Amino acid sequence: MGISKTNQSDAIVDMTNVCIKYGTDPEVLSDVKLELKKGSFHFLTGKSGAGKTSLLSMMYLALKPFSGTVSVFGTNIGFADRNTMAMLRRRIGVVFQDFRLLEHLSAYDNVAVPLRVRGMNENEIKKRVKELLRWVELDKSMDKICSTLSGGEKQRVAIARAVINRPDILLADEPTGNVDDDIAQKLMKLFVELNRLGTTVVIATHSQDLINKYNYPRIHLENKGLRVFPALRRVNNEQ
Amino acid sequence: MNNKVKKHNHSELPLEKDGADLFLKIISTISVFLFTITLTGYFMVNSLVNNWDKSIVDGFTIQVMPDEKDVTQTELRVNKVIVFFESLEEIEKVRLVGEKQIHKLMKPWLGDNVELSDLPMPKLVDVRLKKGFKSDFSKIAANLAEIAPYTSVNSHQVWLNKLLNFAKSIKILTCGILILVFLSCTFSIFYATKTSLGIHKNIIEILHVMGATDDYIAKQYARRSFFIGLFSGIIGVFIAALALTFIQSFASELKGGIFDKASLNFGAYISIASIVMFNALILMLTAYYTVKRTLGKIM
Repeated sequence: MGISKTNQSDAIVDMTNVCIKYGTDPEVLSDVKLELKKGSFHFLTGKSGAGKTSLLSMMYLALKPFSGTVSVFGTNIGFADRNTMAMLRRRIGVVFQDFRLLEHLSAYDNVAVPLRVRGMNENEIKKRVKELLRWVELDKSMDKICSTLSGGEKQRVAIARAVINRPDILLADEPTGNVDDDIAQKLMKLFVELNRLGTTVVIATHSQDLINKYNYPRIHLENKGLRVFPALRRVNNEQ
Repeated sequence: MNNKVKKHNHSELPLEKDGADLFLKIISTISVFLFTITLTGYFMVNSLVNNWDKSIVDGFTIQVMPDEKDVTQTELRVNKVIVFFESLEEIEKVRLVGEKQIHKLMKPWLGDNVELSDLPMPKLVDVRLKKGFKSDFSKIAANLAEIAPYTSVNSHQVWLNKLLNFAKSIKILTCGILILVFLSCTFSIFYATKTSLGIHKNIIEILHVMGATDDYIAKQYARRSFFIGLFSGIIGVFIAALALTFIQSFASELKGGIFDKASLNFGAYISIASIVMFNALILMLTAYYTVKRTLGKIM
């Protein structure tokens, strides 16, 4: 179901000649061109420091390019005002490697955040959050404050928070890194299901097992550049 | 450790737990206290000024020097003065100030044991003007000098003018203090809010990633600041009321006739009571616009 398999042609993310650098440091990525189409599924790979997090940050609109053009949902983020950026971010789900949960709040309240910022009514929030927490097997821990949850539980809360909005694009940084195999399988099934329903998915991972198991294209970062490998089997053949 | 929260939390920012929150409560309470004391002072001085103004416009006193050899002559002079004033259109009432009242006025200076009839005390004629009339004192003095020598017009105007100028200076000063208290409070809220934004920078970044607008975050600050404003406003006004009660009981021992005239009217009480809501609104609006402005600039 990768980029080659989808019939939809709308570009969700479109990067042209993008350069990322921080202050006076050398460029992290240079002259990057990338187009993610609606309903596509990609793994994002590369060594530590290759720029995976920077690329993802740009996709979830936390970072603007040093040069070049980035369009998300057809909006050039270089010219978008703050409210427009906020509205665009509501269509994006993000799972951080370090979870970035609001530690002082309960699992329930963390998952409810994306719905509350949209102004959804509390009854609807309650229904949706409880349903999703039950699905990720956290229904018994929904009232626990996040600082008391285990790493695996936190990861599931982070994933639930990212998908509760049924986002148009889901960006996940090592989403299965802290959970056991059964939960990892279940989470991957969730991502695949979301993708089947039309969500564009990008998963940054170091896990070769995950890449081997799922037949999706791969964006590989190396030497400040980017290469897109259409599918794993073809990648393996090429390599 | 309690690892469960029973009630769902609709505010993602733990504003009540940061140091800026406590700072804001203390600063706001002190500001409200100072504001209330100063505003009450302003109303008191205003009331004094109005009363003094009224007494300037309402009347004046004529001193008739006694004839030390012939008491009848003194009475004639007094009668002439009374008849003269009764003939004027703008005069409401003319009366001779009685011996008892003069004795009372002189008591602080002369004590109880002095017989006034032994002293060459001038006679006092109290003249009250009709409402809306003003007198030309120099003309009156000139006319009186013709028909009744040994009289002098004491319009109170000179010393009352001095008092009025002094009181008006105090009014301007209290206005200045009110503005300063207001500004210092506003700046304190501004910097406390900026500090709080720094403390919660990570949470705010996460909220932005989740799609929160600056308005959404600013409203959380505004809501919290409003309640701090209400709370500190009530405490501040209450402490100020206690302080004013103490000052009032102290001032009531000073009997000079000047301070007795100061009082608060209904409007003043309403104004003082509305400080609580005013404070809450100032805190809310300052916090709201500080957050909007700061987020728009730095994040």
